[in-house]
Amino acid sequence: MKHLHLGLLTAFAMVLTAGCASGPPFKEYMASATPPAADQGRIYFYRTSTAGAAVQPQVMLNDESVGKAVPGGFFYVDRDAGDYTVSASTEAKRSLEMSLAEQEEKYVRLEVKMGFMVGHIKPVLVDQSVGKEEIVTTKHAGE
Amino acid sequence: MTVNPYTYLRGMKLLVCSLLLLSGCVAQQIRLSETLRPPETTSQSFVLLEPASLSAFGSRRQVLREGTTWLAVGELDRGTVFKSKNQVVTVNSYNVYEAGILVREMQVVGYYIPSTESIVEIDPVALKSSELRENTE
Repeated sequence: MKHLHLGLLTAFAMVLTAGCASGPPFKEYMASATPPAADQGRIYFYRTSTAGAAVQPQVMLNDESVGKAVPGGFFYVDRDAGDYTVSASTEAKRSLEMSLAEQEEKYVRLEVKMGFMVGHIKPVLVDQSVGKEEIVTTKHAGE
Repeated sequence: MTVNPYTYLRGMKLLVCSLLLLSGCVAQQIRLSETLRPPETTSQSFVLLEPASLSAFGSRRQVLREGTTWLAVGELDRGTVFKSKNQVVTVNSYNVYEAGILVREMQVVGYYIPSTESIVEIDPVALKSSELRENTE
């Protein structure tokens, strides 16, 4: 009976963590990262919530796929200064419109929202102070 | 397959109620006929001495933090648009838009969204701030 309980607990834990980011932790990964070029800025994307773990849509930056919204995961891209639209589609598309300046760092939190059939991912621009604090709990989820 | 009429009606009622609730829950953007002009005088700035809570219909409430510095980035007929390097301002509705605050006579009267060249009006909020000063940055 004890073994059965242990087995069930293990299976439950596996289900919960399945699909979560498994790369190096943020600090470890970023220790070897190079800064963006002088005429570029950096956009960090991260998802702290494990709710709706099965929902992992592609994250689009101006219609270019830049990564996946993996629970507990982060990734970043360096881009020229300018205006950008971030979106992630499931049954509905939610977007974020933002600008990026040279040498600027922007943090985009990927929030899970209730949907009619499946959850939605809503990209939300957060303060640097908030982003820096939250992103350290995530692991790299690059492709 | 037969559908229980009661279940069907209940489902339809739920759907109609959800649609009614969802409609109008998006921040109303007013498209401007004018474009943002560069600040009229030397760029101005102020430091917020007390937090200011901004609330627009259909958008998440936003609190401008005490101690944040705000720089004038442009002029509209309705007021001056300020942005901060210390704080991100967004209109957080169904979609999210990075924005500036629209200030007239030291009251925030709306958000300015550069990507759509529109504003979202709010109930005016008085700012307790340092005096406007010339930007030295």
